Amino acid sequence: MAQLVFKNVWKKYGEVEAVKDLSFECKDGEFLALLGPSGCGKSSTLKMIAGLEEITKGEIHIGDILVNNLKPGARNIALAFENYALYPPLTVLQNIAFPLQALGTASAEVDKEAKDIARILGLTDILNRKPSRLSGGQQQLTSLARALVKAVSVYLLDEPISHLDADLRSSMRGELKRIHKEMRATFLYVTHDQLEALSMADRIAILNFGVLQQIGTPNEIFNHPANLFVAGFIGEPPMNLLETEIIRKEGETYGKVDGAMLSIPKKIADKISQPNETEFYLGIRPNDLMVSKEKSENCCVPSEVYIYEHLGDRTILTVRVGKQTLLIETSPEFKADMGEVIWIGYNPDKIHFFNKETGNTIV
Amino acid sequence: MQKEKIRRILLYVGAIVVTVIVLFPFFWIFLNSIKSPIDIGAAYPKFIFHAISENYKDILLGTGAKSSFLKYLKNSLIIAGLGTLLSFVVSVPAGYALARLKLRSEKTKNNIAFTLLSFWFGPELAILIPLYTMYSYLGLTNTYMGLIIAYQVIGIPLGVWIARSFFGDIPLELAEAASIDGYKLWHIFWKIDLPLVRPGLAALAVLIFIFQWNNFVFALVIAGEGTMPVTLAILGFIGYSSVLWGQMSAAIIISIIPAIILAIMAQKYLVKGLTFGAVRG
Amino acid sequence: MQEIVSKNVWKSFGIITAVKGLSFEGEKGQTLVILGPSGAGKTTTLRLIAGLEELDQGEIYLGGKLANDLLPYQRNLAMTFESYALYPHMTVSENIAFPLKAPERKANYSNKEIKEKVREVAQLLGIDELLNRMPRELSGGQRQRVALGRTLIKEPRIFLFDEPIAHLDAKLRHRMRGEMKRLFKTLNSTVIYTTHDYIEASAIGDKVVVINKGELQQVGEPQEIYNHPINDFVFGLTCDPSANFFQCKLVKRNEGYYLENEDITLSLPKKLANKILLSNAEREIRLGIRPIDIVVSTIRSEKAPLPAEIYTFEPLGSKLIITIKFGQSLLKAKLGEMMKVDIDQKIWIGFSMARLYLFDLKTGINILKNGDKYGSISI
Repeated sequence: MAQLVFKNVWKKYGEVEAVKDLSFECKDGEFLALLGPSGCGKSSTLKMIAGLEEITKGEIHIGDILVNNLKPGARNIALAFENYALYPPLTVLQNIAFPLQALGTASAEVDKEAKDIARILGLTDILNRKPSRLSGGQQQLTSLARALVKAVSVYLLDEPISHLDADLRSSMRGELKRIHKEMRATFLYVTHDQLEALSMADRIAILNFGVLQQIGTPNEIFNHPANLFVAGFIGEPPMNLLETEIIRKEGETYGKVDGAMLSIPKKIADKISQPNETEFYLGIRPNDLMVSKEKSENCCVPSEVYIYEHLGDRTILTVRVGKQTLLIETSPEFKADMGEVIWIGYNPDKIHFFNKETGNTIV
Repeated sequence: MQKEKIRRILLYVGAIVVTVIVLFPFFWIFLNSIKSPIDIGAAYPKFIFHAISENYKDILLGTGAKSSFLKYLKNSLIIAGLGTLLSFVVSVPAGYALARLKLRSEKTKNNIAFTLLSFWFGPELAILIPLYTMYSYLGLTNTYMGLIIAYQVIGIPLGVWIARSFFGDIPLELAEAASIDGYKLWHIFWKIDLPLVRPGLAALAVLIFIFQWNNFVFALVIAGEGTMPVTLAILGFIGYSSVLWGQMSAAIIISIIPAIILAIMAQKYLVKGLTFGAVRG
Repeated sequence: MQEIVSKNVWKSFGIITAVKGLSFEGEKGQTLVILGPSGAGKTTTLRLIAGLEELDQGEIYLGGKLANDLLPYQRNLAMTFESYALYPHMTVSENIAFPLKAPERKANYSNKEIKEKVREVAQLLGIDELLNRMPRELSGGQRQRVALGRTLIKEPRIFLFDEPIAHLDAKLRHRMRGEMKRLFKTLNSTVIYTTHDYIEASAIGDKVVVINKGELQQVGEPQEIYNHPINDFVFGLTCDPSANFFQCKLVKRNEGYYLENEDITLSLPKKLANKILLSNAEREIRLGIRPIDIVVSTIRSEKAPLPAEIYTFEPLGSKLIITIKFGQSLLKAKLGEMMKVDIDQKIWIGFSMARLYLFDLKTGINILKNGDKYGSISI
């Protein structure tokens, strides 16, 4: 049984179309991330599921129930707000316990459940404080605890760790993944941070300008992006996207990038079926590129070093090939100066091609 | 749905009731100012009557011994206008200094500001007698100068307190950035901090003006025939045996016009200036 | 001659001492990064250099001249604040032009020249289309570049940057990091830059000054700090996502020396053991290993002989971070390629022994700080 189903859902604010014809399913017990840049419609989507916004068109089902006209309280959901929405006169423990008390659960039970979730999120030491005396991160975790303490069909998490500092955020990613597995719950997680989505989700739904771009496992999205937008959005450093002209000569296929000719293996070339199209976008990830100080068989494209960044356990180079710029990730031992010419190579199996007009992936 | 509608109707009704209660006195005074004495003295309040303009004509043109009411309007404008200007010029830099001064203790600065503010809270009657005594001695009674100086008790404490809070809301980093950019204190005040509190200062000026315009007690004691402001002049309509209600009402209406005009002009600044301080991020 | 010298600088605020005896030097044309966690004293140090705070003790020299008593506007510096401090009531171009209109400097530039300079700087930073906007209409990234522009236009002796990219989102931060580095190198500027992020420091800095709680920890090139951290604090800063530490005791058994705790036993070469004994009476050692130097395997091998369990994991596209339950501790490992793993899965781990760090438990000092080789450690 799918826990959450979207069927052709639209959301309009006056003339503005925030969500366009959105359809997807979130399976029972799944951790689904709703990912996209600000303004992509993910918050509107979340609010429609929660019942905080009207659904302009389409249907939303939670469990097997059509919830379009149900009040938020009747939808069997829990929501962790991005901006905490804690009750100021209540302590942390009271805030967390609130949803359970509202349900009329026995107080011994409420106490135990609240303390449990507080322990998991590391809040045990501050249970008696009031929100005004908590740091931003602690407030956010309290809000999260309050959402997780109740047993519901779907947990809606709206950027719940965005205001934590970097270290805490990175350890919370791992914790949330574990919490999800222990609770065997269905999580719908909204974020603009692709690292969060990649690290925690079972599947990711990427939105841009209200339109669903792709839905799939982190692996699928990373290795087989459906279009230019997804390819450029997922991955840090981002995928290199170059304008290419396809040239077929003597049975071999080449991609011409600003003067440099890159040979393309047959199995990929065959998939470029449109004979009339010669202009494409070529995509390759920074860590699928190789560098060398001298020209070699593998590294035969010359480029000029634009920026050299040494990052402890790896090095990131920004290089210029003709008028286009490439990012390369390589080992920390590689050193180069600004302006130096180095030779780059690529892993031909990891090349992506995108249609120049639509941006959709061809290979 | 029903509950919502009923709630909304009740809210509107409540708002109308409150508005009527607040505005009614002005409305009634306005009616009186265009009524003949007979209508004013009628046994039951009359809302429908024949409107006359004699009351206004009388006071504006002056009848016999009495000079035109415009003279008193002029006095109020001079006193409150110059008074506000003086208050402003003194209290705004003072507020800035208190907001920015690097004293070792926050408490000291707070104490100074609050002490000043307490002068504004204090009852005017308490200082009347010493004030009159000093003024007689100095020959400041019945002078514009005397009134303006006395009015500073109203203008400066309030001005310092509010200016200080406005300047205190501006992030210190803006002044620091300017000082690194090569600016000295005076230029920073003039080019960075002052422009940023402009809306708030407009509200402050209007506030001080209205307080000074409305003052009655100081005027009563210090002003004479030549310097009498409108607040005092209105007393003149209370005769020995009768009260000239019609003319008094007309005088009142004329007296509140400048303040209303100012308040309307500064309306958007008043709310913003008084509630949020003057700076946005 | 060093462009910037800080000599034994102290600064307190009431009972809190923010900067304790800080001394360091920076050369002309160099980017010096002050690295430390929040509250370490980086912003205070920068403000002392700028003249926004008065130091209690010590000296600061700028361009060879004693600067202690100079007011900010006399020091010929430019500074960006963490909050950008843009003047809200001025347009972008007025903000950028503002330093050139300062009374003392105004005489040097005609209005036309100022306009031209503003345009140049705006083009360099890609904000020339925003010149007529007000700060409140701009995004975070645009505001940051305006703040940068206001700094660049002055052509000062030294640039001061206080966590300039901390509040941008990750993608923009990474991009600006690279662009700023290129900018500094192209302009050959002397820069003092603060951050709490080692990776940023390593990418941008020629020299890194590490401070903690107001005290200097270590000064050196980024690579140097990475390979030879002077103590466990500096080591911890250079680890991504976080450092892994074990506490062990040095014991002698049957002619052999071992570092032990309940979960592991490492055999040490004699020379190394002696070195430890010399400096450390209590023999309590803190072992440190970076996430990237932990070997993870699904089968037991010589390189991965220790049994462990997966607590949780984070696939990050081209990298995999695994949180491992090993004995009583939780370790973080960073792998450069993907592996199929599950929560609670049993795995085998090992360490790149050459990348193991030994710290004195009490003082935190790196025992092998000179990079001495004493032979190899084995499990």
